[in-house]
Amino acid sequence: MSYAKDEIVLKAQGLKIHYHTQKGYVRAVDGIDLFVRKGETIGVVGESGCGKSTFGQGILKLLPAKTKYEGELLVGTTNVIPLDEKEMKKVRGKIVGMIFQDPMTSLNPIVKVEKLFHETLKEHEPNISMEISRERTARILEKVGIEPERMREYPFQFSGGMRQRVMIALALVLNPDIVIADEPTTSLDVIVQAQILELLDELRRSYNTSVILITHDLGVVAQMADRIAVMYAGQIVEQNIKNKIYYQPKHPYTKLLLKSIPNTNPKDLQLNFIPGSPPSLLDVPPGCRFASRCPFKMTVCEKEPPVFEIDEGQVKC
Amino acid sequence: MSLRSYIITRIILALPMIFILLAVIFFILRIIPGDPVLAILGGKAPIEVIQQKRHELGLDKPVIVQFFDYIRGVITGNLGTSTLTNRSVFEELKDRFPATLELTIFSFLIVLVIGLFWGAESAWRKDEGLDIVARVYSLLLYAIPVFWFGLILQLIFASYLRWLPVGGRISAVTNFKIVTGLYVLDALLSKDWRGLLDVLRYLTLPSITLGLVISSVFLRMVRNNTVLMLSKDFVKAARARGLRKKIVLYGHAVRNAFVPIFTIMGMEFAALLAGAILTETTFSWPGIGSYLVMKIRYRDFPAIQGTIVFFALFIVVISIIIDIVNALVDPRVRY
Repeated sequence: MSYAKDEIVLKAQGLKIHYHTQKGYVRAVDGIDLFVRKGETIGVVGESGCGKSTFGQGILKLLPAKTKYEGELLVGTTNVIPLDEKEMKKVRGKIVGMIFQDPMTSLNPIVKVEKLFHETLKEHEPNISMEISRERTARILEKVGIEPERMREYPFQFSGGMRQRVMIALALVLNPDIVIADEPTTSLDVIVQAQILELLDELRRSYNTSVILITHDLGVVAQMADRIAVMYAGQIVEQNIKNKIYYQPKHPYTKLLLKSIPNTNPKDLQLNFIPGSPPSLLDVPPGCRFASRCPFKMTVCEKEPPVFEIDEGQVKC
Repeated sequence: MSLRSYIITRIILALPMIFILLAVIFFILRIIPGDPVLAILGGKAPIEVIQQKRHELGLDKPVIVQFFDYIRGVITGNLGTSTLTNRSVFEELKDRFPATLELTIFSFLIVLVIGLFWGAESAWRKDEGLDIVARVYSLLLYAIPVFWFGLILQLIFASYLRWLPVGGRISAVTNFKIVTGLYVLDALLSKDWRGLLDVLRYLTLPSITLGLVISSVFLRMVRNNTVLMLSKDFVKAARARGLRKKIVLYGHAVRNAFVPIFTIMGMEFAALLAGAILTETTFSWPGIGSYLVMKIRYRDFPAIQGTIVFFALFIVVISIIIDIVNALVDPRVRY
């Protein structure tokens, strides 16, 4: 695969993020290779604890202080791994925006909406006046479908869906190159979910922002993503363009994951699932991490699986 | 609800509270053993004199009439007459109140600075050196009785080092115009810098004693609540927007940490006043605390009752102010 270098806004190479615990390092992200092109949506899917959220927050280095980062993580052309807190602040919000899972808790309920915007704008543009920041707030709020007058209200006066709209506006107000959406719709009801995803997609198009969509919901990525990366036990087992993942999955885990989506066919009411559970990331067994649950396991699986390049993607099996 | 109607509601709601408070004080003082008439006249007075005095004090009227006389008195600012000095209790309290107010204000400033900043910074560096020292400090000072701590400070700074005066409020030679009764303010108003220095020297030990002791609890409250808030999603979200530590910590975490703190701060203030009584006694500070102790020693019932009423009203006023500040910080309480 080759793309013009300037097209790529984020590139992870051999990225490892290990949490420090009293029992040792938890290898939550253990060697990820991934790139994101300008304006595209990449879905990162996987079950709970596979390291997808760690990856998302690791991009902005928001994890606990003793967390160990290794490898290379280019945001634009800068490798953020060696950056300290002070230098990271210039990346956070300005180059990479973030939308969190639960809008009920990720906005400070007792700080006025306009102040949330003002402090964010002021941090990155220190000379901005209150009037200009109000103007820009009004503009972005209008874009996400909130009456600008409501900026004088407090987040606790907004409903869940509305709060997530505020959150999206807050992530986009500095016009970042990349927006990381960490399970943006998980805590919302289905109708609001659809609205929020549509909004996110529309804004991505109009701002030409790249979106890293982290979710466990295959329906969500099906609707939004251009490409999909499937994570398992801290690694990406398969990544490809959306249709290839859905119609020609290569990795056994991807296949089983897709099979486990409940369907509405009355003849097939059996709920499929993958027996077993992922290995502990504190003490990872050698070889393929999915081997213990894999129905196609072979002796070769006891060795570290190679990565195969397949047309537009990769599979590690 | 607007802030104004919240304040009005809060004040109206305080009225029945004050009434109950006054009733409790009145009846408790009538239930506890001890006859104020005998306390004044001594046990051997002839029966006619006792009856005469009883009539003078209105103690021969039915209790319910006495109660309403007393309520009327409190409303009109008449807290009775001291049996010791024959002066109006209200006047005596008015004379001594500025001393107590000055002491509590300065102590409270110390509490606020130590508790707020040290508490917040410890929370930010949880389990690091500063935080561990903070935890030991707050435990230690919480365990130390305020009068003992005052005595030790007197011993070190007044007796051995002779840097500061042992007690009192002002030197005999210092002389400036008393307007407000708050000496620091009065010295500033009359631009008497040497007087100001003198007054501050007297103020230092008592306010440090009281301030440090009360700061222990406050520091712990701020630290623990801030630690809790720092683990919240909105703090992570604030960091994800690139906000600097100062805004993340004080603008978000500490701000929200104060919501539960406010509700206990009224009680903390009562502790501050209780501490003030002991501190004033230790340092011969001529405030209401030492006044109360003196009056108890002489069984001056009207003065004791008046002082308790005064303390109670003071705490009610402070808790209303705290509630209003709380409503400013956390708009949710208004809705």
